[in-house]
Amino acid sequence: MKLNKLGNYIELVDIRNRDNLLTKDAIVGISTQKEFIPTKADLEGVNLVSYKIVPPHCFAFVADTSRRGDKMSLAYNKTNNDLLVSSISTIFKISSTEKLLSDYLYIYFKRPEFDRYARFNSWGSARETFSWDDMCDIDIDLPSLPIQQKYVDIYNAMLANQQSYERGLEDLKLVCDAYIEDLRRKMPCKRIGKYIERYDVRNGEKGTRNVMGISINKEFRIPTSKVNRNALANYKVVKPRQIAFVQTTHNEKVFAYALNNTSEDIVVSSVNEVFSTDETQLLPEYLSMFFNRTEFDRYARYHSWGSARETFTWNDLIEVEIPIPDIKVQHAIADIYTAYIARKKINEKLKAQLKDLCPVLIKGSLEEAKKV
Amino acid sequence: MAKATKTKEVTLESILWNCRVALRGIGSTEKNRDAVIGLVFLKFAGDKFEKRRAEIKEQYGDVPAFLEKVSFYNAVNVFYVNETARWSFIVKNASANDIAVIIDKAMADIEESNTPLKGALPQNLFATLGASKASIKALIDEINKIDEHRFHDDDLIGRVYEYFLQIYAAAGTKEDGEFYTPASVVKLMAEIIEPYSGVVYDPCCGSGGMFVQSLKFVDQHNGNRQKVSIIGQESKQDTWRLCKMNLAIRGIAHNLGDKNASTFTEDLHQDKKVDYIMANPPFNLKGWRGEDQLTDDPRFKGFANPPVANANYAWILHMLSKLDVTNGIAGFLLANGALNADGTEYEIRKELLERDKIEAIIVLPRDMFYTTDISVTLWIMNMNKKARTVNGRQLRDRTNEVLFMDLRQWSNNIEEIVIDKGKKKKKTVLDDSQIAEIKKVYNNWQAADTSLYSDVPEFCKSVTLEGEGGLRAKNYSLAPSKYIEFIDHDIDIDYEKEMTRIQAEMREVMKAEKKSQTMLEEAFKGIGYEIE
Repeated sequence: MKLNKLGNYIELVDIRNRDNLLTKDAIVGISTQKEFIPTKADLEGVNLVSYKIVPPHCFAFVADTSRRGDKMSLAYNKTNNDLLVSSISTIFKISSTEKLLSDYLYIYFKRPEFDRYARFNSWGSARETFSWDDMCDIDIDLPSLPIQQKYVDIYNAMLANQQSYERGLEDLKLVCDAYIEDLRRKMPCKRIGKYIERYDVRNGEKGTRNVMGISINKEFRIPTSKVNRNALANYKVVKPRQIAFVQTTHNEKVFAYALNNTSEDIVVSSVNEVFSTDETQLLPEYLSMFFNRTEFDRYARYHSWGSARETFTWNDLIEVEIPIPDIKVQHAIADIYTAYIARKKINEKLKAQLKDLCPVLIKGSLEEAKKV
Repeated sequence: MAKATKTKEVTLESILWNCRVALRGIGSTEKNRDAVIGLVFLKFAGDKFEKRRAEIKEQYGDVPAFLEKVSFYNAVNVFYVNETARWSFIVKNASANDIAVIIDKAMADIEESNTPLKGALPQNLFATLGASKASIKALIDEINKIDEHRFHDDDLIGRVYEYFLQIYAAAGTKEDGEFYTPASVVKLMAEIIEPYSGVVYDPCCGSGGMFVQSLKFVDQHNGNRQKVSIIGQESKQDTWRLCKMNLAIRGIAHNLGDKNASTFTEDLHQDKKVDYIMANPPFNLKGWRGEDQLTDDPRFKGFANPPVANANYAWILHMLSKLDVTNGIAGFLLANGALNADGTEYEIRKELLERDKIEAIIVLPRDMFYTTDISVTLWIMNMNKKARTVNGRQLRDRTNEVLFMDLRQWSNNIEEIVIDKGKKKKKTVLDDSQIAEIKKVYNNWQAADTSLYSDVPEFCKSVTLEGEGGLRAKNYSLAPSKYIEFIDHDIDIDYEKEMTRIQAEMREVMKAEKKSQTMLEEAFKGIGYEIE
């Protein structure tokens, strides 16, 4: 095996949308994450004739690498459809398919070291570019096709697994939201006031130091403001399974709350409200799902009033009406929700792994090629 | 009730900040700059005058014939100032209705009685500035606080000038490629060029930053200022005036020609040869000559004619023609695009390399300039690459060799410039230890002791004209990445170890997947939608 110029294996593809066969719907952007993404460009009144077509199994990249977080915008058309990209992009495909697999090259490009290489070799005045010539000038080490295929297969299997995971995710969220909507139609809603109990327990001098903020993502988080951890006496305690919420909504634009699903006490700023639910009637997880809907954010904003600060207070909260099904049903639907959260995390892990995997696979394929 | 007065330590920066506040919302950035700098000039010129006057009085007694003798002042680089132009007079009349006229007259007076200042001071500026009496008074009060005795700073004038030049440069939104050179870049250039003695030339000197820095360099290395003479040229009238003020107030003797003029079409220093050039020409300047203009100019003789659309290579050839043919050395900044520009520029670059004029190409960190985030190149052009002794160092013969350095990643030192309330700019700077390191690599590469230098991947490389991987083989590109080795760190990946880790992770993830699956099956059953 010896180093070869990538230029020996690839060739330019320059097909314009001359007859306007492809429409706005086919237009995509090219991300630095090496994916095609929905375009951010304003397409109002834009003539698509000069746009470039990216046929299936072709690569597209943007030569200008400046101001992109030291990454290169590049993507590979894995679909069976033609895509449309702006004419500043360069399109190419593999010309020696018997020597180089598109998928293998794609994995090669996905490595952070490739981004670093492309930036290292980018030059220009106002804009720095990594041109087609620079692309062809890459020295690449190529294992035999079967070896390439073996490593591509690992990548694709992992990718398929991750994608099937991701597909199911949004469905699960939908199941939760739709189920609650369905319940609202089927059963009378009740004011939650009598199912929840307000708590105002202060931390005291020897209390916990586990201080948290409440994020607009409806979770506890490390406080962003400066907090003196030695002066938490006046902070409010949120016991396990209790909920805390922020009363102001004008900055947050959402109903910011968090459920303490840990086994530790948490303390929050005393301007927040803290409450628990009567768990024989209302599960905090189920209530959380109700709060997590965008429609509830809209509800909370709609009912927020005040001059300098618009607030959604305890008194507003107890007025909220919600369908309260049998506790067993609440458990089941809350479990779906918990599974959704767990699977979302797994999906993130799988995605991170995929990213991690590219350099390892390239290295593995080269090592195996050397042994042959 | 008596008002409680707070005594607060006043810093120089807070005074200078207040000056800008006093003028907020009044004139253009350029006019305000000239107004503040003009007044600062009057203040320092007045202070120096009073000091000198006291000396003369001490030496010769209270004799008007001596006290009013202009040459007694000029001889020691102090300007003679008429009574109505003195700072004390301006402060006394700060509340007068015609204070704008008084200041304008003072500027005109000083210029008239001191020939070296001819054309240097802004004329009729305050009358046309549009600032109220109160604003001008506030400005005078603030500038009056800038006092040598108070700040005990040897280079107080320099600091104040530097502050305003920098702030106003940073606040500017100029996009025509004219950039104020950040202090740390000028310092690096001086450290590499080492302008100890001889003529220093800047063909596009702007406000004179290069000169000021070269003399600072001379001072820091215990050199003799008298051995350095300064010549320059500047095309914009306002900037030319600023430069004159900048140099005059610091007592730096100079020759900037008797007016502003384009270096290309009206070279004010024709036939002059210089020892050092330090320059930051406007990047990618368009239309620097007419299509048929300067087509057989002697400065470009033997080279292709630089294109009308970009002056980068015209600057290079202009500087080359000015350098002393036996020992001249130039350090100048150009946009990175010049490194591998094609067409005529390629032809010129090829010729420059074949004639062995280029010694080093140093690409600076990105985002150092106030009005742009691009990275620029410091070119070192040297007329003598033979073995010799320079400033006590033994240099080897570097004929047909070029040193490349890539500092694009040296971005760890960030400086924050407060431009206005709530408006800041963060810019990369080189600190003294970094400058010393760059200089060391350059000097080690030149050194007769060849054990001192070695190539470092992704940082520096010594390249020859000939041979595989040489300048000719790479078609005279000066893009450092064509030569400096790139290390793909993926080569270091321990495949076995990584795969074992991924295997363990996958095991965990699969377990979690199964658990979540079981949970889902139960839950769907619970709401009446069993999954088989």
